Parts: sequence; structure tokens; C-alpha cells
Amino acid sequence: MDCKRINSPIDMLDWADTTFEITIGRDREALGRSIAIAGLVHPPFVRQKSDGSLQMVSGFARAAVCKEQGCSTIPVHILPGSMDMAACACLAVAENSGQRALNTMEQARAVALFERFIAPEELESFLPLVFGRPVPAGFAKKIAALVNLPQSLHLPLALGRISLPVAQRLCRMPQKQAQAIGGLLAALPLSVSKQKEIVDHLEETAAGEDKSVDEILEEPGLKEILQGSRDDANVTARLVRQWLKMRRYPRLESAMKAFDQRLSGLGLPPSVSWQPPPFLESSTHRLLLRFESREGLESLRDIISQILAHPALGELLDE
Amino acid sequence: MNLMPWTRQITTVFVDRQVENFPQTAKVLANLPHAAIEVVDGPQAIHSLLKKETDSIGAGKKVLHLCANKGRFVRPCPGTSHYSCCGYTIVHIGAYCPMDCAYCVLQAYFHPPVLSFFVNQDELFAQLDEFFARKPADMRRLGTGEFTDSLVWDSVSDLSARLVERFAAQNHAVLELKTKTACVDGLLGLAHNRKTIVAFSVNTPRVIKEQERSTASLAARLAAARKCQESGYPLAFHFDPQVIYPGCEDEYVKVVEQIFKSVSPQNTVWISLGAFRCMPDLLPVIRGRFPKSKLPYGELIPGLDNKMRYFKPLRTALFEVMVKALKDIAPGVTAYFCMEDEPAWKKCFGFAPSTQGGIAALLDEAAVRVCGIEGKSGR
Repeated sequence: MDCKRINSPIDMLDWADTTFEITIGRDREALGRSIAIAGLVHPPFVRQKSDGSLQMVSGFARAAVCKEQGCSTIPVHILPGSMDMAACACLAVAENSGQRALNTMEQARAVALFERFIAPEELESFLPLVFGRPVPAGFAKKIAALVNLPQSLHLPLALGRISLPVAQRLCRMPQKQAQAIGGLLAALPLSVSKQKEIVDHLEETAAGEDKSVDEILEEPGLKEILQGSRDDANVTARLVRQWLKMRRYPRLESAMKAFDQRLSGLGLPPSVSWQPPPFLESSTHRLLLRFESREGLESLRDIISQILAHPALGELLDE
Repeated sequence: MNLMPWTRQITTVFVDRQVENFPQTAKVLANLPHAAIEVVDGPQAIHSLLKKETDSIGAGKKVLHLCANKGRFVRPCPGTSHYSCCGYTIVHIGAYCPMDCAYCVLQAYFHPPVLSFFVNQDELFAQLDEFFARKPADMRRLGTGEFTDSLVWDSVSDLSARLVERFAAQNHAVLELKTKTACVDGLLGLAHNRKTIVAFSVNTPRVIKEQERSTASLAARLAAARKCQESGYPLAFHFDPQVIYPGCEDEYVKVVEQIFKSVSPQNTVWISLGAFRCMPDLLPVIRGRFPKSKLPYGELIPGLDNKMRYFKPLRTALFEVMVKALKDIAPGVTAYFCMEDEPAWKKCFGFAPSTQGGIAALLDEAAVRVCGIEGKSGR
């Protein structure tokens, strides 16, 4: 590749043109420290535009750090004018994926870039450049669709705060709804399954009541939880899940809560745990007894007698 | 014959090559002159065609596959695990249904579902002859409405009439024809000897309107029931699936009242009650095909048989109201639960079926009483 290296005024870079930008969610501080100490070792690749400005093809983060550090000029490689957009797209992706595995949002941007400049029938052969391995075109298409998510969700997705399966569901929602749900998920520490549960409960509650998800999210009970000041975000996440579960399954959750209250009234010791039937559907309860010795087992006999004599037993067994 | 609305929507009849020359094939085809005819070697070609459709489930309602039943025509209902079943016997005449109910399990039962009708009916009647000769004690109630609606093909086939007449000639068992249509005219002049029960699936007008596309209205079903009663047929009603929504209890009680304003309790063999339940795979189908349906958004939990069901206290609360209404309005009629457990029976009916010989015995007794089949001594 016959590039010309020059020192360009930094203002010649067209900052608004993000056509080839792949990087998102990377640690700028480390990059900043490196550039401050060693200078810009690996200059960005740029294309000369007809108005003389420079379109960045790679090195967006490096250039941004240089600007932040007050550099007035920046070394750049000017790509030959004969290089077509498809080749530029490959360079942009390779410059990133050659150094590290791309995060989900970067993969999305990379595939979307390929979709824009590479013929559909050739696309699949370029995908290993993005994913590090061959992947089906259908899968890549689903990943590329993530670029259509509201901008505010790109960073949480890049940082893994929103899981891929949930992000793909958000893609199928109206933008406003995706933004609202995605915003909630990004703010809470949640596993993939819990994120799915929250989306399920929100969508199903809304659909069941002919409301919008936004209306559910605006309900005072949920707002109160989200606006409460807590040190531990895990507590907020648990409260949000509980609230949504109660909203989606009010009778079931109330019954389970009432059962737990009655159960705690029995005052069972830690060596005895009572497991109600799942969803209270059957009438088979389980009692787990833990003991280490004959004496320990003997003491459990008394506890069982106490349970049998307890006035709450009838209610627990729905008698 | 007058074509039913759903038969007019059949665009193509696929005829299996092996049944091309069967007399029943000719009869059905003669009654569907508007439909294209295509001879196929098995269902694969139809499946491939339907899978290309956006709504393959809906598309399967517009083609009819005439074929042979290669399995048993008469076979026990598989029922479900962990819940009490009624010991029903299925007469398998075909599959799927041209009406379009949101909750219909057949949408997710076949992949993809295709309307099919078995035309090797000589084999069906041979199996019935063998059955009537053997008189198995545990098979007294048979029905064609398990995998399809019993009456949907009555405007193109005489199968129902032949079955009614065959059952009329024996005293061991009853045939139940279960329907959501009001298409009973073909039954009215037949010599049935009260060995055929015409059964209507009923629901509240709201559920019928919102969840049961192309079915007859409640009023039409009850008018049809009355006509059948006037023709001497015993009747049955199935409140299944009952759908829970605010105010449903009052609406279901009104349906009970309407039924017994139209027909006599003494002529009603049984009434079943069953709350909406389905395999989990059906819920996304309902969401996709019936976006306005609220069924998937009820308080459904996985039941002991892994089907999704309403949370039990919600079901039993509705059942208690229904059982009370039935006791008040039609005290002599045998009512039973479809797929509930013994505690639910005890709570709502005050007894567990196992203490009375099981649900099958209750229903057999009702058939003896109302339809005049041979009693226990005759088994």
C-alpha cells in the first residue's frame, strides 16, 4: 500500500465524518498515557477528500487523544486516491481487529461498514476479519442491526452492560421503548437471564394491560425504587425485579409472599427448611432436615411435633 | 349440500396418490368444485409449500389434504400426566381445523399444521365393528373432536352421518360429536338411537369474539343445541378453555343460564370445565398470530405436566363459581374437570373422583342414565 506520511494540522481532520469509526468502549486513559510518553507511534490512516479535508479511516481514538492533549498537528498516513471504499473498510476493520477482539458494538459497526461498501455475495468471506472466524451471514446481519439501536445504548452494549440476546430484542422495538428499557438495564448489574426476565415482565405487563412499556416504567412504585439512594446497585436490581414480578404476577406473588410470612411464623430453625410446591401448584411440600448426630435427629422430632401443633399449619397446607 | 364458510376458503385439495380412487375422495372433491386439485405423494410437498408462507399456520387452514390414516382410528386419549383424566377414546377422523381459535393447541401440535381428512373410512368402520364386538369395559365414550372439530366437514362428507348410524346400532358406547359450529342440519333427520351426543364447546361472548375467529356465536351454538335436542339427541357442553379476565365469573354464569334456558338439564349428559392451558410453545404462536389476544398475559405458571396454566387459586376461584352455578341451575347434570388434580376436585366439588370410581365411572354412569347405553352389568 503506497501511503504518504505527513504531519497534518489536526483541524484538517473531518471530525464529523464517522463513516469508518469502529472503536467504542475502550480505555482512553491508557491510550492517553502512552501517547503522552511515547508520542503517536502508529499514525491514523486517512483519505484526502475533494475539499482538502481528511476523512479518518482508522485511528479515531488516537486522533481524539492527540486533540485532547492540545496537539496542533498530527502525523497521518494518506491513503492512495485509487483505494476504493471497500478496501478502506477492510483497513478500518483490520486496524482494530488485528490488535484485539472486537466488542459486540464494534462488531456491529464493522459488519455494518462492510454491508455498506462490500457486495452482498462477497460479504461472508470478509466476516472472519470481524469475528476472527467464519460466521454465517445471517448471524452477522443480526449483529449489524445493533447499529440502529438508539445512540445512548451503544456504549452500554460495547461494555457488555446490555447482553447480546437482549440487545437483539431491543432492536425489534420502537426506538423510544428500546431506549427506555435499555437505559434501565444499563443502570443495573444484571445477568443475561435477569435482563431477559425484566424485558419479559415489562413487555408482558404492558401488552396485558394495553399500556406502553414507557407507561409501566413511569409508574411511581418503580420510579421510587430507581430514584432511591443506595450504595449497592445489586439491591436496586433486586427491588426492580421484585416490583416487576409483582406487577406481572400479582396474585401469584402475593400468595407466595403470604406463604413465606406464614412459614416464618413457624420459627423453623436453620436445620429445617420447608420447600413449598413450585408455584403452589401441587400439594406436595418438602421438608429438608439437617442433622449430624443421633441427638441432632432426636431434637428434630420435637421440632416436627411443634410444626404439627402450630395453628398456621392448616393455612400452609391449604386445608 | 350448502358449503360452510370455511370450505369456501379451501384453495387447493391435495390428494394422496394412494387414495386417489377412494369413493370418499370423489365425494369430497365433488363438493369442493371451486378448489384446485393436486395429487401428491405424501405430505412433504404440502409442508414445503406451507413453510414458505409468512403465516404457515393460517395457510394450513386453506388447503385440505385427503389421505389415509395409517395408524389406529380408535385409540385412547393420551390425557396428561399428574392430573385426573376422563378415560376418553378418540376416533381419529382427520386433523386441524379451519376455524381459528387463538388458544388452539393444534397450531403448535403439528409442524406445520395442515387440514387433513382421512378417506380410508372402510378401515375406520372395520375398527369400529371390531370395537363393538369386543365391548372393552374401559372404552365407553368415543369422540371425533380431539384433533379437529367434529362437524367441519359435514358439508362435504357424510362421515358424521355414517358414524351416527353405526353407533345407533349398538348399546355399548356413545359417540360425542364436539363442535364450535352451528352446522347440525345434517344430523337432524338421522336415526341416532340417542347413542350420539352432540356437544358444544361454549364460552362467553367476549371470549368467542376475541379468541375464536370464524366460529359460531354463542346464540347460534345454543340454537343449534336446541335443534339437536328437538331431534332427540342428548347434549353436552364443554366450557373449555375458560379464560380468566376481570368480570369473567359473572359472564360464565350467564352462559350457564343461557344454556339451560335453551335446553333441558335432563337431556344434558355432561358439562366439562377446563381453564386455559397450553404447551409453552403455543404462547409465541398466539402472540404472533393474535396480537390483540390477552391469553399469553394471564398469570400462567408451568403446571405439573409442564403445560402453562393459570395460577391454581385463580382457576379454582372460577371453578367454584361455575360449580355453584351448575348446582343451582342444573343440579342433576354431571359436571367434571378436564385435567385438574384431586385437591381441586375436593375444593370445588366436595369430593375426589377416585372415591367414586374415577372420572370415567362418573361419565359412564351419565351416559348410561341419559343415553341408555348398557349399564355396568352389561360391560
